[in-house]
Amino acid sequence: MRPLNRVLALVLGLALAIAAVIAIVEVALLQADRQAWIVPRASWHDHLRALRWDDASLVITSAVLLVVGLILALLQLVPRLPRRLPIRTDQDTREVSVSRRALEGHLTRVAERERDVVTPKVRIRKRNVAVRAGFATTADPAEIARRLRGDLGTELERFQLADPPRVKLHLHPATRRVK
Amino acid sequence: MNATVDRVNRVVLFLVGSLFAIAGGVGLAAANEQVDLDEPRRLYRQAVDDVVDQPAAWATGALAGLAILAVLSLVWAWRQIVARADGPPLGTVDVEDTPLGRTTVEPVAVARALAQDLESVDGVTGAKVRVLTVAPQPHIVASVDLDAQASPDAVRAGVEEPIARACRALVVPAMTVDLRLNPSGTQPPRVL
Repeated sequence: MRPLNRVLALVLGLALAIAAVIAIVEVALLQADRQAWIVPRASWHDHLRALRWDDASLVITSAVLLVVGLILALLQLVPRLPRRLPIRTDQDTREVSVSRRALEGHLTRVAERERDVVTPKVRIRKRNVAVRAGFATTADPAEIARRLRGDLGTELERFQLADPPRVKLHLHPATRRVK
Repeated sequence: MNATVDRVNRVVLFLVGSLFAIAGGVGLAAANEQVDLDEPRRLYRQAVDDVVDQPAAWATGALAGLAILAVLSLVWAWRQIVARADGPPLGTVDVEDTPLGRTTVEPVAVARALAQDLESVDGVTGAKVRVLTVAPQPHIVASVDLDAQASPDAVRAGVEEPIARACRALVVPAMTVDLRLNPSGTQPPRVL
């Protein structure tokens, strides 16, 4: 989300700056009673003085604005997960943290090592670690859950997170064969 | 600075999105006659009579407003490109000034040396260091990549030695360290 916002902000910022510069030139030309630079004043004037609310161009523009605006505004309301998770430390001059993405990758690799576990996916959320994984249909899911919970819990303890998350498992029978 | 830029982006994009959505909603509602608004052609004619035909009354204010908008938009766009975590890079810093002479240090060189030193710690496969401030107490950000077998505790203890060496080089008793661990799948090197 952050990189997408950066790109959107860059495009919007440049577009606004260009529009403002064009408007400055056009206003100055209008004030000096000179011909327009870029804006086709005559055709805009003709179009606007006959414009009605139910004009197709206005309806389409309004619909596009509504959809784009809603998407843009709602995207900003999606809660962001922290990039780094703080680690406990008792030294004032030390601030220790672990990358959330890297820890997700690490926990995924730990889960992958577990026998009878297929394509595990680990996501660290605000309060818990959500693990989705398939299990071999010949295996006992309760036993796999116990082992996974134990392994991931031990790994999380090793990192001594300041706010340790709980492990939440979502296991489902594997749809492909286990090697 | 990165966090500030992201926060500003979020607020501005939310406001712009809301503005677009409101404008679009009003336009559609007016087209369907659900709100009672003057036709755009009438609004336009009124605007031409009241505003456009009398540029002397508003042009100066509009030009000033547009100039501010252009500058703010450019600054905002520029921040997306140059935004760095934790501020701009530091130049040469004086660490000691005695009657015998002055000692200066290049923060980039300190960062490079410390990063190399950190890479020699057991369990660390790579390190990047940024020096944020040097005086009065150095503040650094050290990002270290851990191998698959590394113990976070052992690495935390292991980095203290290179940090102590950096403190001695900078002639300071201690430094503030923002240590960022990045566990990776890299296997540790095998010793034969």
